Amino acid sequence: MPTVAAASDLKFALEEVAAQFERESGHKLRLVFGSSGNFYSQILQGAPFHLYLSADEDFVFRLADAGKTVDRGRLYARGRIGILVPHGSPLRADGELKDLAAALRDGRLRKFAIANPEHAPYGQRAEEALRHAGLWQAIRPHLVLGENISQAAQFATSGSTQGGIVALSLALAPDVAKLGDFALIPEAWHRPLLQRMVLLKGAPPPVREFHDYLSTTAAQAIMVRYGFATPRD
Amino acid sequence: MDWQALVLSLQLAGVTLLVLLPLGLWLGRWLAYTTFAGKAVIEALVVLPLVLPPTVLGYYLLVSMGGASPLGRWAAETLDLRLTFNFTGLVVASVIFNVPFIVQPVQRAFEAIPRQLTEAAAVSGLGWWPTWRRVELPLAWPGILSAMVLTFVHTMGEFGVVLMVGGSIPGETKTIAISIYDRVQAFDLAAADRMAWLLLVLSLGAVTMSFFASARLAARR
Amino acid sequence: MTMHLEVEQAHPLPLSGAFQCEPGELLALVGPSGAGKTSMLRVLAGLVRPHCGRVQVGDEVWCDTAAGIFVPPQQRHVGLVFQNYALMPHLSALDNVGLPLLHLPTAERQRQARRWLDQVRLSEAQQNRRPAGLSGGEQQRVAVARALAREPRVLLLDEPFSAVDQMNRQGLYRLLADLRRDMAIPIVLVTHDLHEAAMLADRLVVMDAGQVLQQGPPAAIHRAPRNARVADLVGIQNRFQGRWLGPCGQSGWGLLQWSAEATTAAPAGDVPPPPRLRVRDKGRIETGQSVHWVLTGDAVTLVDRPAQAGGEFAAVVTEARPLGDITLLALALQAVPGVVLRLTLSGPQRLRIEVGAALTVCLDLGLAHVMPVRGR
Repeated sequence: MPTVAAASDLKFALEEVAAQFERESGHKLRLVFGSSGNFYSQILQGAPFHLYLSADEDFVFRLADAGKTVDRGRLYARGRIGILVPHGSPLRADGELKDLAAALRDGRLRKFAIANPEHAPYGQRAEEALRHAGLWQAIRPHLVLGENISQAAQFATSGSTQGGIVALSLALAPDVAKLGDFALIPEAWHRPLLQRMVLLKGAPPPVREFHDYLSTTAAQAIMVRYGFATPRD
Repeated sequence: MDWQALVLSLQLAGVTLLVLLPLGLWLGRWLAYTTFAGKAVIEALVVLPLVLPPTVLGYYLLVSMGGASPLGRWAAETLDLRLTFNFTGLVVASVIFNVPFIVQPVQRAFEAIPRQLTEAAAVSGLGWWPTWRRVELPLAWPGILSAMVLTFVHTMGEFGVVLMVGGSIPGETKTIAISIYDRVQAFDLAAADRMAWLLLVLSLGAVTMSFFASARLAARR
Repeated sequence: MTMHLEVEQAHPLPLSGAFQCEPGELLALVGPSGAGKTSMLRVLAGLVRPHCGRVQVGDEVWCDTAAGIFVPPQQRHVGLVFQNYALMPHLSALDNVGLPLLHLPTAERQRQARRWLDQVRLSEAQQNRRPAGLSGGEQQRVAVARALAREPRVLLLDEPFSAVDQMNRQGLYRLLADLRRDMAIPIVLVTHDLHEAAMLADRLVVMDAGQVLQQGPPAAIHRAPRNARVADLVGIQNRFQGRWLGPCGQSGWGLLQWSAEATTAAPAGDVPPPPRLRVRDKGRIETGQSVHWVLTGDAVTLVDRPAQAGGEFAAVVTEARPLGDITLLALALQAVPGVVLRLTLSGPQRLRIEVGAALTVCLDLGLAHVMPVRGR
């Protein structure tokens, strides 16, 4: 059974693309979502994935160096992060994070969710953005770490935190969008999220087809709808 | 409702029980009947999975059985068998993780049989098989039943080890517990709620029935 | 078929001794708790493999450590009645008795089991009940029936009287008597109750601390215990110290000094010299040796006149304890200060005796038995 390992920020976007691919080609795919870093470790340990969509191209390059991949992969999207604030939170969705700074000073902020910077690319970028805004040291004691960006988004909207930094692609999903307000954080504040995918050795033909399908206009259109910038932009 | 995940969990619980039952019966009985230097070590090893965090077990299984390990590579090359990220790997992890759940109640059940009864059977001319069938098994049965139910229910609820060793692959390693976790992350709380309820009802029902059965069996004495 | 047992081991339990039991004979193993009596029974049954020992019944050698032979209990035909009966709680009395009969087809097995249960006088209703629904005495009878159903070569009973009330005890005596009469097999019974042992058994084996001290008919042991320990274990109350003075001229008799002190010590002040008694000489004791000696209850009688002949002593009652039909007396003898003579009185004479009364005690010294100290 062809299996695709995809970063959590692709959850809604990729499911739509895969559904379309299934309708058009008749091939069924198994999608597994999680943290890019976790997938990287698992693939090194021999996990049976055929296509890897990472939120950070660095993991792809390392896998290629380890000889696990067919080639050095292809950029499929550029991701963005932003601040997500659930309805009823004392925070405001301010993409420049000025409100966040104020909230830290006046005590409105108790808990703030990001993905784990150790192995989640969206978490790393969140840290970089917070450092850029000079808030990292102050906010560290308040951080709640999600195992991947999906879990971070879940924490951010659960009501147990006052908000968090999540992926644009998740914030645009209807299930998430209805739960709060979102504002983009300037892309210059962090290293770009160059999302790269790669076929792994032993990938069967249906997966190769899917890999190629992801670069078609149809697929790209869906991705753009979920806020992914095309790699060329 | 992720029926595939539910079926997978039931399969995992069933296979684990099938593998562990003979092992648990043999080990539990042996520990109940024999004393020897170093018995405490064996008993500690049996209890270890109870007190060990699932992540520790998962880590060691990955490192020792995974594709990068000598054992994993050998199994892949000679037996064409992978031991992680598939159902087989889950079974291995589950069997190790459930040892205390099967062995301890079985051991207690055999310990509770007064030594004089097996001696009386011996003196009455019964060999080991008739003694087992007519004396030991009927008397230990409530404990054995309890061990089986505990093991089954515990496997249904396994999470940490499965996550580390399984990889959450639908139809292969995505058990119902993992599915609940996944649904929550996907903001599909309705599905998560349904599955959580199902697991709760199943587990509670099974354990209640097991206690009920044990009490009735004990009352018949 | 005669049963022989020899055991000699130091661990895990010290166990040492040998005895045998003839078919139709009832042998009682007696001794205090922890004496090793039950262990001996378990060696006989094959539940314990001795470090060094031998068990033979008739022609069958059940255990011979020297030859490396050990027959497991399943293959010995023993009937063992456990102290706590060891009935299977989940089986009816009938099925319990059917356990040794599993080699028979079901119908025949049930028929024979019923027969054994009828023999121990259990009603049909009781036969179908589980042990929990039977009284202690009934459970014991089921245990006996199960042991008998094995058609054993030897019947072993472990403390059969300990948990049984008086009424059931009588029934058990009758049952044992019937078994002895009807089955020509050796019967070995373990008990710490000396009176019952003496009453029921043909022979006693006295044990203490794992060792067989003496064996023989109860009366013989009472009359001639081998040493002070045996005398204590069989409940002989009048045990004294003394010194053997050697033959006294008449063949077969010797002189016993009733005190342990050396004869050369000069009597101090007005303490009377210890009496010298004429007792039987069995030729086993050296002159001048310290000894213990005993008098059985029959040897002590009270007379109404002042002391005259040798063997009669003036005494004063120091204790008189009435206990139902008997009175326990303790007497102090003027001639032997510090010695207490005990006597159990029954009958009308006891009613006249009070503490402080002066009496004459008559000792039948022909029944005195002398034992060397630290001898076996």
